[in-house]
Amino acid sequence: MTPETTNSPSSLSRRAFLARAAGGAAAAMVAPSLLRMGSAAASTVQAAGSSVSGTLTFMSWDTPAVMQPVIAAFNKLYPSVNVEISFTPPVSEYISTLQERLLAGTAADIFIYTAENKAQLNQGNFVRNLSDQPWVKDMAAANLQFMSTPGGVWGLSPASWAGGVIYNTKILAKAGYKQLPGTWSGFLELCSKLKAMKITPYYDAGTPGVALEALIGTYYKTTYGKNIDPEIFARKISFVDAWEVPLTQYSELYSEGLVSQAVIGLTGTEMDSELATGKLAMLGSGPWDVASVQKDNPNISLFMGAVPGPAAGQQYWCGAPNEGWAVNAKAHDPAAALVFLSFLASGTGLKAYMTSSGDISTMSDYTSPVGSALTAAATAARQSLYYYHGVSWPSEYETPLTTVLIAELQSMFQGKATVKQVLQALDAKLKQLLA
Amino acid sequence: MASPTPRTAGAPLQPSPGSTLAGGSSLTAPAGLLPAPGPEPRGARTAHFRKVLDVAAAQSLLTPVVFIFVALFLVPIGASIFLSFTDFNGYTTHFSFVGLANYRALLSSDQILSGLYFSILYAVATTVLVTLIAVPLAVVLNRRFFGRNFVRAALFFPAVPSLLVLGLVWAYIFAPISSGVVNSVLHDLFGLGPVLWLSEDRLAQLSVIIVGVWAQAGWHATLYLAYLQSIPGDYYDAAMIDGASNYQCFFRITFPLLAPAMTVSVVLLMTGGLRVYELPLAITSGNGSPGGPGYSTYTVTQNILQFGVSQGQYGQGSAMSVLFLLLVVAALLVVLSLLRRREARLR
Repeated sequence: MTPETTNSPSSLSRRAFLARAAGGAAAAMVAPSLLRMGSAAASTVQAAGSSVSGTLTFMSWDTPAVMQPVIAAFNKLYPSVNVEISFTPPVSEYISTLQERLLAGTAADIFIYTAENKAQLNQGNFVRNLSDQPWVKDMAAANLQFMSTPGGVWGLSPASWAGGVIYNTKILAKAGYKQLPGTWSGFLELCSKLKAMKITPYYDAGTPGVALEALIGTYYKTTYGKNIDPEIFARKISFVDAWEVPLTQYSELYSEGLVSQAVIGLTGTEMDSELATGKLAMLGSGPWDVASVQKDNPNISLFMGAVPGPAAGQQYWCGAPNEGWAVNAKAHDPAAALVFLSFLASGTGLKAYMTSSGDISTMSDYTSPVGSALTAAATAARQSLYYYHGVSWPSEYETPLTTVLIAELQSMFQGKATVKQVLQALDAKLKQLLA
Repeated sequence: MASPTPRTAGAPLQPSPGSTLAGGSSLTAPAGLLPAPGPEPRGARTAHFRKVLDVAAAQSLLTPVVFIFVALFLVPIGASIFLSFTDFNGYTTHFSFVGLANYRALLSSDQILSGLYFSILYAVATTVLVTLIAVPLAVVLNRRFFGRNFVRAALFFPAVPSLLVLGLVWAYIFAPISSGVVNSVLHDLFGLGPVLWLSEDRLAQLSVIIVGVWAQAGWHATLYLAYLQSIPGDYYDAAMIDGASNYQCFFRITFPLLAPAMTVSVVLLMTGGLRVYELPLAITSGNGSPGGPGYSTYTVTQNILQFGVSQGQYGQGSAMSVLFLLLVVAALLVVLSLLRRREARLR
């Protein structure tokens, strides 16, 4: 089998991996000369370290376990900067809390800039233009594009994620597969074989699923050579025209009875459990589920591969740049805020953050170590070989349209709506939103 | 000297027919013919002053309640009505008036109409089923049997935890795969394959209603039990002496005397049912859908939060809130009116 199928020492559970990496980070702090801090941003951070002081407010959506090591690393370099950090869970609760604080004039100096609020933050002039910051050139192209509008760069997005199909490689071996399927029809054939073996072939963790997102990405790339979502929202092309082919391909999972409509009512935890116990062979999800399933069953052999496309070599991923950190246009201490972002973009900051979050860095300053199960996914994330509608669609239309998409897809899974009806409903909703 | 019309304690002093006022005029004399009243005696003025003081003291005690009512009810309702005519997005205070556009948009949305449908279905179904279960249950719990207090406590327990927590537990119980608790039992007992409890429109609605009934039946049985215990036992003794059967005792004594309890219970169930939010959210939000499958278990309150908060369309969210408030008030008035008439008929 092409991918590594055993649980090698390098693919430790997420917790063990983070603990080991945290130890490495501490050692690195003692010997800063060993760090990969060659960028101008990193040098600036260290040089300015002793001269910056003040109080910085930071509204995080990462947990304290993720951010506290980062703040500790920052305070080692900047002992005179007091970071007052508050935690609000993503996404909707964070967005609404931030919105209330912006309206009340009490928002933190640094907060999250992401797909769900970027349009509103820009329209309200709530964020500072960061295009003059030295770390901007270190961001990957997809991350930079996500953080930018024609008027400027509004945040630091240092990581990306790529989701695909998590294979239980032992089950695949039992089905006679030594290599992952290379085409979508091959994937459907694999599902048939697994079903005949009385094993649930595949679930998508989330609606719309990883497989659909990746098939759309493949179709855009092979047919148009670019992401054509902007044309859809400019009403130059309809969802029916742009999505019918990939959605028809995806619908074969359900129309051929390979995936049960039970998937509609399952939680992510239940799917992880099914995969960990060997009742499910493949799960379409992100890297986070690899860690949680390996934690449930340390003896399982997993590998995350791309979603196969219609033809060999057309595989693609579902993924997106991570959210960014933005500076409040009315920050109480903008100097400290900028220094904090420079630190986060530096080798030291990236290592501290990526180690505690487990994210895949796409900054030129730092390469995140990943387990063997995620090597292909990490490469895809770094090379931006992914599509995810939630980031691609304009944020002001994303939530209402996604609500319609989910409802219509679930009707399709039940056999109550056709591919065309799903897409016509999307076109109708978009027309209503744009009216 | 004895008064010609003896007064009972606490009854207001009423002049007897034909008696006269202080000025000597008859009570039935036309107002325009009354002479100007003379100066009040000192004692009367003091009594009047004390009465004013008493009223002022009583009113001042109501001030905090009035303040809370204004701050927590009238102001938000007023703000919602105001915002429902605007395009306020929650980020800035710059907004425009859009007239009735928000209200018009509501009536053309499948999502909103589906939410309205399931909210009404849930409210009516849980009200009927809980009442049908709670009344006989209360009668049983009113009898003496071994372990009665334990059974009462066990039946009341589902009302204690939050519906969100209960919903999450029941989502696991109703998991639509073979490892789901209900499906495992059905398979072991009857050899049935996995039932798609949360993955099919009607079954998902049924699952939410079942949990809603389970969570509330015990609490409402306790409410009925409290009213049952206030029915004098003499009524039943007299009926038994007259040869009444248990059936007749229930329908001729118990049921009519439970009418006030039913009014309270039904009103609580209807208003709570229409406002339901967390239960369907917890049970059916599994794989990416907040009210799935499709819109089948979507509720009005979920719509309000999604439009108002998640999508930043505070105008539409507020318009929905205003319409929903009117709907709940109307439903409440109709239900109350019907139940009050029923009470009067059975009295």
